[in-house]
Amino acid sequence: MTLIFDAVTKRFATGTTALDDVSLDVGPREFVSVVGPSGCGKSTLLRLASGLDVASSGTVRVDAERLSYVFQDPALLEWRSAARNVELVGELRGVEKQERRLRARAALALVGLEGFAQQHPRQLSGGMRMRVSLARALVSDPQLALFDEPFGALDEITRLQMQSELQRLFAAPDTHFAGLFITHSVSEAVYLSTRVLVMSGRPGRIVDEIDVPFAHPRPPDLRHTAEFAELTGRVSAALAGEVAA
Amino acid sequence: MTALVEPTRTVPDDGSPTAPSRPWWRSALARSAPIAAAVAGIVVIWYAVSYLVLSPSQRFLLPPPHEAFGVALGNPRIAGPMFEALGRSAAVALVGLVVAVVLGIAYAVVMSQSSWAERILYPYAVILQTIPILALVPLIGIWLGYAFTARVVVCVIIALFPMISNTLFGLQSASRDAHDVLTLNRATRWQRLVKLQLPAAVPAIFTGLRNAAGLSVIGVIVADFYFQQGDPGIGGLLRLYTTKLQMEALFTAITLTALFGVLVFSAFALADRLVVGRRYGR
Repeated sequence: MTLIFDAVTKRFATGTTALDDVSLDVGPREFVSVVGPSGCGKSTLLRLASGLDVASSGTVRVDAERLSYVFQDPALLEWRSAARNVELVGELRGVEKQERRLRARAALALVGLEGFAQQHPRQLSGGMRMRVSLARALVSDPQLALFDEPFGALDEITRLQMQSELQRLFAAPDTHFAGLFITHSVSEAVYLSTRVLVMSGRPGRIVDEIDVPFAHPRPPDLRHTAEFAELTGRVSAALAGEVAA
Repeated sequence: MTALVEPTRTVPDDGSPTAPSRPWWRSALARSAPIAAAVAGIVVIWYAVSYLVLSPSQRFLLPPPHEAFGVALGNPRIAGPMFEALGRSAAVALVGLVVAVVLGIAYAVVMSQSSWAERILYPYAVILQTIPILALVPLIGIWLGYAFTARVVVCVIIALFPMISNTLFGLQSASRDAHDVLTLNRATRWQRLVKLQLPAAVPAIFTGLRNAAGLSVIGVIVADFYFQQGDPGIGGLLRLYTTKLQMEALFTAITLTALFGVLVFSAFALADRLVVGRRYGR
């Protein structure tokens, strides 16, 4: 398993319990989404998985040498060009200059930004900035990629494009990551994932788990099939049951 | 902070298709038009007060510009020492500014490294800022004499605080997400400083620079004014002209001082536009 949460609880110093007895696992080349209401501790889940924060009890095991994290905000450095933002990862990890340039260029090509390497973040659209952020996450060829509602701030059209882009990247022969993806959107979760976890609010618990059997890569009009509607219906019902309870 | 920074894209929208590619000197001209208009306005008011408000017997209180400058600059025994004094003061102000910049950035960098350091060190900066400089100036004179070093110290004390506070604000301006990106890639403290905090602080450092530059000019005038011993700076001459009621020389010296202040401020505003405007999209 690439990531295992075993009976993980996270309480903050303020007394709020963000996660309560959460167990989950993500296997190699799996893409798992977590859907749940706002403030149910979804982001905490990723902070624990990445080691940015530590659990109050239970264990978090990560079996990945290289891990990357995509935030809701692209979190780019405004004084650096797109290429230099992607290169940052190599700079910090001591990758030799020539090598990290090549890798940054390849990562930008992977997200369709070959022609924008020298542009600064302020010159790029919201969707393009998010692509740079994805390139920065993928440049180290991670075994585990964590996504914290990365498309939450984008408009609907860009959001659908980015979803297609991400599932294409997941299925691409030159990437090798398992994904853990946090979202509010049921259809986004089903479209991207091999498995969807439904979380309850305050304190966060996993209340349901739904397998998504469609093969990758997935065409955009998969969203309009009856099978897709049936799965989103099941996820929504699980969420609604949780909200009602 | 940002309110102090003028927008960079000020190419006037005159509808001409060549507007964006106009030569740099024309846009520089267009940008300096308001300040030129303000200077012209001051000259007009100056003449109006001289000739319309003051009676001929009172006119010595505010001689018209051409008379003031004519008398002072036309007489080498006044103009010579005046420009020498201005040069001395300019050297003090610039050295004081450089020292304040280096000290201020270093102090802020140390504070930015831990919340403890900030809690321990920030009060000293605040105290330095709140002590009225005029209370300290005589003491500085007693301790350090009345020449170059003492005057530089006065400039530094006046100019230091905006450097410290703006730099610290800038060093702390990077987002939590950006910090997390560095943490996840196991950045060292040094890497975090040079690749994230310092570059993020550049716009704020420039804001501090412009404020500190203006204050450094004020600092040297204050120091000159109080330290009468030794070679006079322009502030010393201001006092001399006042006591001797040399009104023409006094107004010329005031004008030169003001021009020097405007020049320093403009130089840093230009540097700000070139560096911050280009790389940070302001």
